[in-house]
Amino acid sequence: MALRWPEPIPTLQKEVQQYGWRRVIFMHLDELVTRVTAGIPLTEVRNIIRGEPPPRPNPRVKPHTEGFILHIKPSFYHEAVTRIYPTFRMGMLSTYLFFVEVITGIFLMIFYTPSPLVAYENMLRILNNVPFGQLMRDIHRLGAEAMVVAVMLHMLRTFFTASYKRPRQFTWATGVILLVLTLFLSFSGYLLPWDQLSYWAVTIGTSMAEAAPPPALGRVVNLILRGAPDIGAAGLLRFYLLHVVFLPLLLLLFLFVHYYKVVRHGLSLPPEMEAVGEDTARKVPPEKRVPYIPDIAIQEALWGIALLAFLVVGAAFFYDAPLEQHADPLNTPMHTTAPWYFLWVQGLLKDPFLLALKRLGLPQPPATIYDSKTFMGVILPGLLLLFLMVMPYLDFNISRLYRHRRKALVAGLVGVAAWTVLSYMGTPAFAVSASADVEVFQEFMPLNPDPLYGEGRVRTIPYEQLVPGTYDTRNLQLPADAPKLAKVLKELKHRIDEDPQLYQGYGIVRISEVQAGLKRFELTIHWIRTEDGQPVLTPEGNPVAEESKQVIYLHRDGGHGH
Amino acid sequence: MFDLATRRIIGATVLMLTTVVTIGMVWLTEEQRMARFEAMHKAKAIENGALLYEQYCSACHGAEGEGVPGRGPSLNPGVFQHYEQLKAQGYPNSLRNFIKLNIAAGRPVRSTYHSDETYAELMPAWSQDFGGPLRPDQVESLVEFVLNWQTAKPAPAPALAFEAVGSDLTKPLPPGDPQRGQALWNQEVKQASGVAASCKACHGLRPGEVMVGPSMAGMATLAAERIRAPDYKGQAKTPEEYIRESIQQPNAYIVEPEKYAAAPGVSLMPATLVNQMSAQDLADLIAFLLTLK
Repeated sequence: MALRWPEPIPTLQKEVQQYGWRRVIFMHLDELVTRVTAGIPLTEVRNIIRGEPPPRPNPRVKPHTEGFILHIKPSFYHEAVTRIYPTFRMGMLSTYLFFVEVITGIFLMIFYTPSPLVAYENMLRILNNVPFGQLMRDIHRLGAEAMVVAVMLHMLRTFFTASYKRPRQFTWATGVILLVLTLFLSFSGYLLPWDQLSYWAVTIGTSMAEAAPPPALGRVVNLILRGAPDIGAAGLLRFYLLHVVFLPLLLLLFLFVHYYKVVRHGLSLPPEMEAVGEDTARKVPPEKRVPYIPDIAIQEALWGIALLAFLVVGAAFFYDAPLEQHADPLNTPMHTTAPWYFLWVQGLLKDPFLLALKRLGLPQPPATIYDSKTFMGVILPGLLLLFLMVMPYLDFNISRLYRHRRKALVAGLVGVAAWTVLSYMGTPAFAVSASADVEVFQEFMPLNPDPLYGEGRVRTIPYEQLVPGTYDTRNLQLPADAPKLAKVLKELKHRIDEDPQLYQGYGIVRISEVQAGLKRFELTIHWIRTEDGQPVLTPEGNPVAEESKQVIYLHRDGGHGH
Repeated sequence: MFDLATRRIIGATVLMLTTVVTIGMVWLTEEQRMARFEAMHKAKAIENGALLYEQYCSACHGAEGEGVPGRGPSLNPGVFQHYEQLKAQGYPNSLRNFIKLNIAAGRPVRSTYHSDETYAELMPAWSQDFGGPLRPDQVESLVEFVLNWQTAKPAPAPALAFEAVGSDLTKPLPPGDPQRGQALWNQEVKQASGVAASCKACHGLRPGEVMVGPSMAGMATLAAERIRAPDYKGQAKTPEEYIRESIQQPNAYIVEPEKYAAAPGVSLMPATLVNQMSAQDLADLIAFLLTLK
């Protein structure tokens, strides 16, 4: 028995017979477009492209009610928020960057195994054997930095335009959580290349966890985070899972909450146009409405494409994500720093409070009462964060106008300045001093790239200009055909001569070719030991001579001298 | 000229084209970039390997891989010649793996290639995989460094014309110069073969200092006592002859065999040192040692 439809299905043949093939093609195309756009027919698409006003009823709001993607977007914006000010598009850019990170991250995941045995080798493979591997890695890293910047600027903007006030307090609180998640996402990815840079930066960062009070809790948190007292295979796996699963999911969750609240209350207007407590989302007068389709959609596409262009061009021509030597738990680089967005914590850990007491000549508090690492590294940042989250609920200023918020604005600027100063204090440029000879080695020939001096002055000399021989800074015989070598040797002489701790100091440089294309660069620094600026004498009355030596090797293809 | 939306669309199109063109440029140069990175990484590995070699290997194999008699064989060109010999015998592995295995796991038995030489110790295992101190990537760096000797132009062989003194005790020696002997000991001057004397690699000059061999402090006095000792089996009649015999025929008489014999009747002291020494070198060294009273 043949199954029959209640009505005969119109076959293509019958349709063509009835309407003619031109009309049929149009009908099917129209249906396709309507379905893909979730409600905008082909004729309307043409109208949009020609810039014609929508008919009534407006089919252009259909995607907002029918479609999944656009149903979370408002169908119109207030005209006042479609300009650069007051939003600067930072929230949108942060979201875009998150998705850029997801896409490039998945690409990198394909070639990566979270094990200390192979992680670094995987990085090398990505760079030397995967087409577009370096581009993807650079975009991922550049995007991560850009995302941290965008989220921070977004938050500053929200503060300065007072958009966090009623009814948007909760939006702000979720924003603070998103900032923290962004920082930890970026930071958890830091360890994955398993090079010296990542290993030591994360070692510093996670040592905070150990300082969490009370000590028993700190130990447990540290063990949970690192999987062992020190970072090893277990720690790498944990950071990997945090980076690729846990934190992104958590961020996505809070992103939905945050964005839902943004749409619910509407994008906040500039302070002078909207008072505290006003909820503009549903009260936009018709003449101020800018429809999402097509105006805002075009704008957002422009921003997204501009961002993509920035990332791709930046990663291709201007930025290379660093990859240092293989992680070595036994070899601590001289000047280790946390990532830049955590430098302020590192600055706090150098403890401005104790430094101030010392400068004023006051006694230091006993370590049993005041543990610097716990207080400055954990308690103070924790309190700051807590304060940031509840700040809108404590803010009783009922005006959003700049002229009524002088104290808040000054406090904000002071906060930014303090952050900057603390970040500077976190760099090795501040209050880090090794012995004078080690500082010279670090400046001229560091064993690991240095945050202040990079690869060091010696590695800026082109290979051919490393003329084998012995050079004494007391009596420099500069080779005629090696201007760059001569320049660096002069700098070295100057550096040693000017250093008050290297009393009567001089350096002997020995350059030799040990293999084809491989040269050995040895620097020995000699000086007289001093105490309070006076040379130390042996019991026989002779000055105590000190000597310190460091060797690096330079290969012709090592990329030096550029 | 255009309205805002159109300007935005034009801007977006230009930026999109820029992106596409950039990706196209990356695509076109990707092969060269990967090759460049590979070369640069290899160079960095050689640099690291050189530092590790200086730290861990040069004491036994010499700063330039020339070997240290009594401590470790030559690597440049020793290791390459050794590999050729093994390959001729049917060893199936690659040169890279041969070097890597020897560094990582050490050597279980004495090399047959250097069977005429005696070394104080066997090559130890260096990789953490086998209980050594180095990570696998450090072993790789060392391999790159050793292999780089092969890419180097072959070192000119020290084809200095000289007559090695050998193990012949009856060969007449010229008068010795203790000052040159001391310079030889301190490696300030080279032997007739162009190779530095390696005495001080194993012998100290301070009393009681035992490195690999016994201290040479008071050697002249000691030699005079030894030839009169009841268990002395050699042919020397004078301290001078005793020292000469010890260098030319180390196995003739082994002091404290439990300490200084590599095998019964075989001294830790290499018998091959005299192949790099002229009669003058030997005489000078003996003259120097005779000053140590």
